[in-house]
Amino acid sequence: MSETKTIVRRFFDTLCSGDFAAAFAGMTDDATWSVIGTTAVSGTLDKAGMLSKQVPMLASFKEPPVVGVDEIIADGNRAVVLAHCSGVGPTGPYEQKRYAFVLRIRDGLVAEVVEYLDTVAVETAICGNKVVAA
Amino acid sequence: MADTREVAEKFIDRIEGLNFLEAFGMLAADGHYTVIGKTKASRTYNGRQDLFDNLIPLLSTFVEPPRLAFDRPVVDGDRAVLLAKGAGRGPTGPYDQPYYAFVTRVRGDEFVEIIEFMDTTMLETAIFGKKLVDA
Repeated sequence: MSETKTIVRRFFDTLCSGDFAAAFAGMTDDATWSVIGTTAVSGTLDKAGMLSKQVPMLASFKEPPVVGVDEIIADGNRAVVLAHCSGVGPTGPYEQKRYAFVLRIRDGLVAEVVEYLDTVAVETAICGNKVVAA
Repeated sequence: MADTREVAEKFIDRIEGLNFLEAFGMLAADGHYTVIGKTKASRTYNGRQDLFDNLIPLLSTFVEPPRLAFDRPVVDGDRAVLLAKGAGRGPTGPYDQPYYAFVTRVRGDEFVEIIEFMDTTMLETAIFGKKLVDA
């Protein structure tokens, strides 16, 4: 297994165990986490933002989101984690049959994560919105 | 026979050149193409013909076709992940996708699997005439 895959596997094992402090320790000081789209939780956060916004958002779930890693694809210092997730968000059931996390590694640590997901599911399960005919 | 990176780069060249039919024609006759989410376009298209018969017509309504620019693909064995950003104008609104990902599996000169990740809310508003409201 490549070094990148090993780092990413360890990072996700820690993250999925719910040990956010240990997971954050595996990130560079200037690491960023981006969620695609224009939802209320979309955008790019630094580590402070992850702690002040992302962790409380996850804590607001009625049933915590359970993420399962399906595959890790790696090339040099970049990796793509394919995963799935389900739980119950503050405003509805949350299911992501297909997730893709794109990571960049620097000095053995995670420097960047971009989370690709179904943003409509985020709107309905986390943000309390719905999509209707215009 | 082309290697994974060459196949990925051929797909990128075609998409960046707005040759969408040639790009999607790289899906194997028995390949699978999945659009994530629960939009009208979201499902797994089984085979190239299903893709051409049912997804391409849905996407042919763009007022301005999305112009995509790709990063260097992430290649690992027969896997290639193509990351892109792009914008255009759909039939019912602006179409802005700063984060696109095509997760692919290559066999020979073709793709046997493509999973397309994008902002599904943007699909709903720009292509399918939907809007977002409080639940």
